[in-house]
Amino acid sequence: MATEITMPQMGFDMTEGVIANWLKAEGEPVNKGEAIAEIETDKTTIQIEAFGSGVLRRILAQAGAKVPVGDVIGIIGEPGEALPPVKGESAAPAATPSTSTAAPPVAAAPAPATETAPVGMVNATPVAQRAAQKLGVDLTSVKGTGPEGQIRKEDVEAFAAAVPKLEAAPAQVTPASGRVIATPYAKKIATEQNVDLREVKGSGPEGRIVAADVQAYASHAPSQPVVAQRVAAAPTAGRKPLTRIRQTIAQRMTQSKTTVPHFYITVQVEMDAALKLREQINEALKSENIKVSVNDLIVRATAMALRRFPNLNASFAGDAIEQRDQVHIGVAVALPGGLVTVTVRDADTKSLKQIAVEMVALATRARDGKAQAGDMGGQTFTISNLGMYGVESFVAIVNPPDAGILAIGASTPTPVVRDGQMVIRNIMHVTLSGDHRVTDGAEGAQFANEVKRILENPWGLVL
Amino acid sequence: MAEITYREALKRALREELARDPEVVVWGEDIVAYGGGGAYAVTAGLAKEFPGRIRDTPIAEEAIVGVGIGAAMGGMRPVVELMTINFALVAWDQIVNHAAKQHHMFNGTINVPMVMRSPAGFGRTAATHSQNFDAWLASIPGLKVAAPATPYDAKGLLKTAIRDNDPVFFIEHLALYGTRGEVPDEEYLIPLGVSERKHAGKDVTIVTWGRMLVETLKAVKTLSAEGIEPDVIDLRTLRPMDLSLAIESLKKTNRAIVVEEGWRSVGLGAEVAASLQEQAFNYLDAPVARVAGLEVPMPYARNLEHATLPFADDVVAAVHAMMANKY
Repeated sequence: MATEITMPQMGFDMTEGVIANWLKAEGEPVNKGEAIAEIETDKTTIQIEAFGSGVLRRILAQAGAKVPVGDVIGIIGEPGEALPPVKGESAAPAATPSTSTAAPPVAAAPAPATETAPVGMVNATPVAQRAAQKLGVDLTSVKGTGPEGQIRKEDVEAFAAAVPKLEAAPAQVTPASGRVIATPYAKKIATEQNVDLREVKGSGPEGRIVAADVQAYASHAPSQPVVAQRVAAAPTAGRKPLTRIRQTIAQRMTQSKTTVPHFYITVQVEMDAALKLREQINEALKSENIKVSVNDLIVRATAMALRRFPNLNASFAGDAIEQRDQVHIGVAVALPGGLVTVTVRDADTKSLKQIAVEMVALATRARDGKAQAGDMGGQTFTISNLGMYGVESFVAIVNPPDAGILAIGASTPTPVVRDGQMVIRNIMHVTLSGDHRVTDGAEGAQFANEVKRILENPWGLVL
Repeated sequence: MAEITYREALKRALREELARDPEVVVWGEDIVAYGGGGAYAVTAGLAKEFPGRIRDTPIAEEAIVGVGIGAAMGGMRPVVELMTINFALVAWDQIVNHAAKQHHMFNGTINVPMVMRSPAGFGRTAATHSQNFDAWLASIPGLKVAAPATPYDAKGLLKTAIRDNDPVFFIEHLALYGTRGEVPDEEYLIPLGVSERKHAGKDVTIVTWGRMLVETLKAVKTLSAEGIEPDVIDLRTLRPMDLSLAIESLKKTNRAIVVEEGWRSVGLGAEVAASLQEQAFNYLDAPVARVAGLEVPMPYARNLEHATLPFADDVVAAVHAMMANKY
């Protein structure tokens, strides 16, 4: 079975690579896993391993050639095996099994009909048309052997017999126009799940993105092997190809930090009353084995505050600010290879108990890589909490399309002045990062103080 | 419940309506004289049961339909039989310009409660006698068009058509006359303009009708064995066309194939595909695909006739291509 060797993508920003040199010549046998060529990217040189055994049948891009990612640079196959037609090549001589070490002749595969049919017209018999329909063959690619180049059924069948060998290698076509080609349904679910279609590889005709590609991407399980995974470890020490999740974080955070004008407001929240209330609640929930976390209190407090500040429960939309009807709180969850944001939907209408149960389920599924549709994305505001790491305070990057994010530090016993006396209180730093296109410092300050007020008078959280 | 043929189901519908309403009459070529019951024996025996109400006509289709229209305007409920749908071409002016328009051109004061029954299809009858005019008929305002695929639907729809106050063209496919299916002894009616799910599935929506439903259900057997479950929607009536089930199904499967016997260009498949994308664009995960007949005058030879028309294997191939994202 012929296998295509394609220009691998090393890192999300690589669009083309240069063939440094071939380590094998045409006709030379290759074993799976053996290095066959060296590729130069703008950052490094790497070796490509064969991902099939056989003979290096064709070299389609010579040393020094600059090749777009995903383009075929060579073909591995069995000696004498008929090879599928290669784009841009005309008919090759007929197959003769060869034992010579020189480049073996390539089997005749029906070549694109160029000299016979007038442009826009396909001259094919009805039976051939029917066979083409049945076999999914594009008649414009078939060369006819009938009178005046008329395509006959046998031509279609011969073409179909030659072509399917290509199907072993998944088509990874990037539309030349740069336009994202996706089905309407794929677009719909991409919007629902906050997936950027530019990052999704399409498996349909002409690289079209279908719903399954979006779903596979959203669940961080690529529907087809990532090209980079086929490539041998780079000789450069310490170079680690970006995982899908890191690619996403890199893309999103760069987009946010470079396009969203951030401003920051920090308030100190006295958490003693909230911590005491939490203890009482957890005592009451002990029999149900449910524990409300400090973060759950913050999720609810934030959701309640957002109800009073609809302008922060919004997105910047170019020529308008779109306020959201519902309050969905995204909560950043750390994973070994990065972080994801899980979404507590309608957090303002849920009890602390509901939020606690839901957060445990969401975080567990996210950490186990078993996130379900709806677990992620669609948030209207985000919370990032590093309190459990003992962090006093930090600033977070706005999570688009949100207008703001709260960065939560640890509750730390701190000397403070109350009624002229120095006393010790548990102080938690809460830092709002706001999108200045949507909101301003004064509104941000009022919102941050509303979160503070709710947490310092925590009975409001349970009433 | 007894299993009877499609042919027998039609006869029972006629018999019940003849017995129920004295205004119902049946006219057509050779429906009394020829072997007793028309070229395809649908009316066999009825002439004896209803003396004078089943009548042979001259070989003059324009007159047959024209007389039917006049009788219907005068208060009768004629069922006229055109021996094959190809002969409807001779009566096209009566069908399009008269039957379909009277009610509208006379401000609703006139009704034409007539049924035109006619077999469509093929069977080594060559180019002029093997045609499918489903799409033409379904595009005429003022006309209703039924194309039932099962004996059950044939009986229920024909009875409704006879009672309907508008002209109804009732397409009976030759290949269906001998097919069998369960039909209850007690009376029932099926409304015009209501589609039905004939096989429940989740993977791809197939919209079809008439003979192609039978072929599609054969294809479903093959596909089910492979683990692919199409959701099959039978339109049953082509005008008015009910696409509500098909759209509901498409929203679930995100893929649709329209299977028709007629010519592909400007066919009903094109109409269905256009409507589906208008009404469920955001749910489409692939272009709506069409399986249709080849656009050639029908050859006489059996193998060429077979090559021209779609059958179950074409449906299987289309579903395979759809599931492999090749459309």
